[in-house]
Amino acid sequence: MSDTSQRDDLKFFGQVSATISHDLKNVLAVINEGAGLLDDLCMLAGKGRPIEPERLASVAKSILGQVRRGDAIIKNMNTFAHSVDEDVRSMDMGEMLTLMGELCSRPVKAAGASLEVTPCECHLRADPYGVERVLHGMILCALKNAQQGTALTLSATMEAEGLRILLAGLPQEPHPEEQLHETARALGAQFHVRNRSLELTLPTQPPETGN
Amino acid sequence: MAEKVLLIDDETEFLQNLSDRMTIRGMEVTTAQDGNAALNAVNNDSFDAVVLDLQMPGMDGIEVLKRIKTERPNMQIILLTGHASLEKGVEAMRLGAMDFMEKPADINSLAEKIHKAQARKMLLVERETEAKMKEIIGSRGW
Repeated sequence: MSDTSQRDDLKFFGQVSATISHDLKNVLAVINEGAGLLDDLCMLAGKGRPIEPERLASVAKSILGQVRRGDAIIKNMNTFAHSVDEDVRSMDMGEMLTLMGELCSRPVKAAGASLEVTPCECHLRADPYGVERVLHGMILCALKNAQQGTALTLSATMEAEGLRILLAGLPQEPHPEEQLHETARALGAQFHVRNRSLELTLPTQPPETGN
Repeated sequence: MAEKVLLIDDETEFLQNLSDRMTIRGMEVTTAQDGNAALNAVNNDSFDAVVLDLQMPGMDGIEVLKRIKTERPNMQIILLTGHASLEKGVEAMRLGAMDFMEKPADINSLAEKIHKAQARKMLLVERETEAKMKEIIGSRGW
């Protein structure tokens, strides 16, 4: 791998990690204000102001909800971190698309767009980290020209020539950077721009790496 | 005098809980969940301080900061962010933000900054009034 490729590879890992840390900070901020509010209410109760049980229940529910949200973020972070464990493995592509949809939820939301992942029951043997990297690149490429209300859909279907992943709903024809094409080629995949969609066809068997 | 604060954040629960805590501390709080609602509030009311989330969908915090400063140059804006990078902090201060805080924020530090913002706003308003008075007196030849 060239120095530039290694740098791009690290950039992808860094981008995903930064998004996760930001999401976790937000979860902590909500919990912090919830716990702080409970503390304030206790302080007021100490001064004789009655506590409304409904308000307590609402804050407790909010904190529990944020703990679940934080747990889901950490679970995704763990799955992502372990994707470098093996060069090649069999993957549930429905789970993979959902993971990448969730890991990209912050940039999607920031762009004012939405991303719907269509459930699928396809499996594929490939480099998980490489697949994550190309899916991440496709989503960010689609977001470059996204507008408020842009509704993207991400789906996968098994075809004769391999597993076809389609990212549709782009507001205009995208112009992927060469680096995204390179990442797709490294997986032995075909990558095309078609009718305001990005299409990736992954081979059912990973390419020989020569290692 | 109670500080009038506009609190802007896209996280509903964060907004509700922080707003309640600020109200308990005697502040008068208005909330907005996005940039457009914030700009409407700024145009229709007067605030001592604006507490603004940096990362919001659609119009982000930096854009909201720029627009508020264009409309109301004296407005005291405190930025809140999940990740306070030095670069963003410098940019925010250059654009006229009064201060920059990282989430989760300490309520007492935030309340102190809001109190300072109110004092600074009052000083700016006093100076403006004084300048206007001088202008009127000068133009009438009194």
